[in-house]
Amino acid sequence: MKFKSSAWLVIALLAFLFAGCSSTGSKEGEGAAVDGPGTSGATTMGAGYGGSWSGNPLDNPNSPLYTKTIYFEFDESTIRTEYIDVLRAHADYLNKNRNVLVLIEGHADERGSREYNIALGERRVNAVRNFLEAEGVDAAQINGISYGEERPAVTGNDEAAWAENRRAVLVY
Amino acid sequence: MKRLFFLVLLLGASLQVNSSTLTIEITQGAEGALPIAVVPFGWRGDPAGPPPQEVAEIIAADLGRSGRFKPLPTKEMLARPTSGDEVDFRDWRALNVENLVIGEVSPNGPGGFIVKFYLYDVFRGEQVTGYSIPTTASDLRATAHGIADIIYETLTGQPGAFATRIAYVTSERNAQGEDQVELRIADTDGYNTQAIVSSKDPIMSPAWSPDGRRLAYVSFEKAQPSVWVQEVFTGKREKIASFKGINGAPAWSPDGRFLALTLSKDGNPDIFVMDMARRSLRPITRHWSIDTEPSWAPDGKSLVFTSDRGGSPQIYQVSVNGGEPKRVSFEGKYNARASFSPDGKILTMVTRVDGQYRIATLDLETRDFRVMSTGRLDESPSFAPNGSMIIYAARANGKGVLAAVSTDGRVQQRLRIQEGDVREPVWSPYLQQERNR
Amino acid sequence: MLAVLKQNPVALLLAVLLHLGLAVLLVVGIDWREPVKPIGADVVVVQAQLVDQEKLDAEASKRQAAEREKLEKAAAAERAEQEKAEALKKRRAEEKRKLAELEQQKKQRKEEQARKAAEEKKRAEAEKVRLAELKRKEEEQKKSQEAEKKRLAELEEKRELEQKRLKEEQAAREKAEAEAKAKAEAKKKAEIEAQKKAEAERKRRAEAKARADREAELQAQYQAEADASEIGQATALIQQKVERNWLRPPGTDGLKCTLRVRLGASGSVLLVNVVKSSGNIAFDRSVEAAVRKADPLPMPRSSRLAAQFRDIEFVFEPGS
Repeated sequence: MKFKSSAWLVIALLAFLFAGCSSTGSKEGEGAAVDGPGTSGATTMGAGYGGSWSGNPLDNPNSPLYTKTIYFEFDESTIRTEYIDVLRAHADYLNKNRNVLVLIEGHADERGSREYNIALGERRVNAVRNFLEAEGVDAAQINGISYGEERPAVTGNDEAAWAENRRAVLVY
Repeated sequence: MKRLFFLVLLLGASLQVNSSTLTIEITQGAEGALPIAVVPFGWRGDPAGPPPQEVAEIIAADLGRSGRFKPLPTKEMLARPTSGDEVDFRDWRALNVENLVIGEVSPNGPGGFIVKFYLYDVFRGEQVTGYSIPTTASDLRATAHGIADIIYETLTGQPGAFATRIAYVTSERNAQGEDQVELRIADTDGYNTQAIVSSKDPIMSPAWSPDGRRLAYVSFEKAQPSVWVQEVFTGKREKIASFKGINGAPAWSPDGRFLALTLSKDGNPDIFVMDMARRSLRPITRHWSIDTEPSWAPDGKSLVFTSDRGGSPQIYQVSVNGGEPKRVSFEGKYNARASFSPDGKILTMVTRVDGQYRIATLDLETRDFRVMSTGRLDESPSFAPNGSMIIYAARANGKGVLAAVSTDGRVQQRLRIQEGDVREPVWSPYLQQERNR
Repeated sequence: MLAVLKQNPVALLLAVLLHLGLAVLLVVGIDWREPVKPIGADVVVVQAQLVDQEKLDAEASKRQAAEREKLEKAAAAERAEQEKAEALKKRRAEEKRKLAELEQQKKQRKEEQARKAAEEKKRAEAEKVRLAELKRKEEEQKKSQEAEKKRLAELEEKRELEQKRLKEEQAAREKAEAEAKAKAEAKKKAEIEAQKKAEAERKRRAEAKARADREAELQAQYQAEADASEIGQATALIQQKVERNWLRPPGTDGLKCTLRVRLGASGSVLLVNVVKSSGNIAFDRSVEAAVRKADPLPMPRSSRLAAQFRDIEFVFEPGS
């Protein structure tokens, strides 16, 4: 049998009843705000480089300038997004201190032939150099050298060691 | 009718009987190394002062290491003749030894010796060759290697490479985490090692000049990668290239007049050729990709090099006059560090197979590509000057070691050189026996 | 309970609303059903009216007309009946005629059948006659064949008798001749005796020789076979011994070297010469060593055959 429209109203009301019953014990219906982990990597500090540090900002553990080594994917020389803030901080520092020189060391993991890895290391040096120059740093402040696989940070023949060796290091 | 048939048969049989030679075909035999006995050499001098080296041992080890010979262990010898009249071939035929080497060392003035040796064909029962070689105490090993070369060439028809040397890089990290890096040379059996360069900074890519008197290499001293050329015997050296960026991968032309280099002074790594007399540079490749690791063909007309212009490292060949490089390697996604065999027919290179880095050879005529080694991180292959073996760097127990494989892939061996991390071996050309004279 | 209510104000509101709504419903009530629609035909309404004279007359004439019609209808009906009866008659006559026809047809058919049967009979008889005729002919043929056979046999007999007679005549003649001859030759006998003897002797010798020759041939044949097998055996033994002793340098497939070897009577290796080099020193040396290591080479047992083995050409070709 068909129902009059007023009947649907009651059914709707009943539906509200069941809706009320089905919510979990925590809250009613609406989702609470989820506070998951924030974006990884750089510590999110506000402007300025840490409250009360009186020494060289490069040595301040709370400053992004403290991070002087950035890591790369296998066979890659693109800057990973997680290091962009760090490099920006370094660019900023160099722009503010025009007399400071930085040496960028490029490294590769031990896999593959040595001279090719020298060239790979240089690609990583250039990636960092180009980034800094794009941020306005004077080319005269930047030097680069590639060590290829010749100066590993970590000895070892597994991916854990290799990941630590695929790096560019800013040496002041 | 039947009579005629029998007659013909008889005639046919008798024809065979009357022919002068019988032909027999031999189609199989065992394949293997040639059994040879090198009897300990006699010493004709003062029993209290024997010569400093066991010449026979050096010769036997050389021959065995080549994979072509199987030296008889001394304890299995039935006799130990040291002169021709003491030789009874039955003693050696019984052991199925096909070749016999005997010899003697006699004093020849202060610090001098005369080494005599004789090579016999046991089953022919006659001497094949024999020499008398004057030498000194310090050259005694070299003389033994020279005798091994003569024996090798007499019996196989190919020149031996026992009197050659290898150069290599060693590295040790001390307790403070500092590296001690050295460029060293040694005899091919691992003896007589000698440091050429010592540094705290990396040393790479040693390369012998064609006359065997100089080594080119890359040194990072003073945090600046530069190419140096150093005289092996005097230690005198000069800086050849120190441009902005990369200076690396030196490779001598077959006539020794040019040095190919990798330079990134123009923005990215490219191959250049330097005229050693005029010190002028000529670019060979011009490409935004990485071009490195050049190596000359034995006819001096072309070079092979590593380039990732195709997306990943592969081997390319280019005329020495420049021009469009042609890709040469097509197996797998990673091929690098190629060099030619002395006859120019084969390339050896590093190839990646299933994530493992191995030594491979590519026959340029048949395009046959063979993986020769079995390690995970094998690299730096280098041909012996007689083309019979390839030396390369491998890893064992977390350390760098040197290994060798015969060019036909049948014999593999580990080389005992020294402690520490050893890498980048490069085999010298044939050496003039001048040395310290 | 109150605490829960305080924590969930929205739930409380909804519940209260709901209960209000229900109360309203209870009071007001709801008709769940649809309004019913009536199902009906249209109602017919009778309209009454005054009657007048015109209408009565009209009705009278109407009645008369109706009666006339009735009479006409009756007459028509009678006529129809009559027609029906006639039709019936006609039909019956038709049927009779038809029956007669059928009868006639039946008769005709029977006659037809009879005729056909008669024909069949005739035909069968004719067939019988023909078959009988055939049979007779066959028998006649047989008879004549047998007669022929007899005749031939008689002829043959006659011929044989004739031959016999001829033979006998010949025999008689020969006998007579022989006797005559014998008589005539009795004299010659003495002379011929000697000749005959010599003749016989020669024959015997020839036969003996032929036999001997045949034996020799067979012997040679056996010998050749034995030789061939011994040669084959010795060749195989030499081949095996040399192969056993051949240590060849690796990677020398496809090379070929030919050696000339001179052997002593007991198989000792006297001389080895490379006739055709393989181009590879190590390979050449290895084949020479193989032959020398196999010294002494196994020779055939008979020295006669061993002579063939004094000079051997070895062709070393691995993999062929």
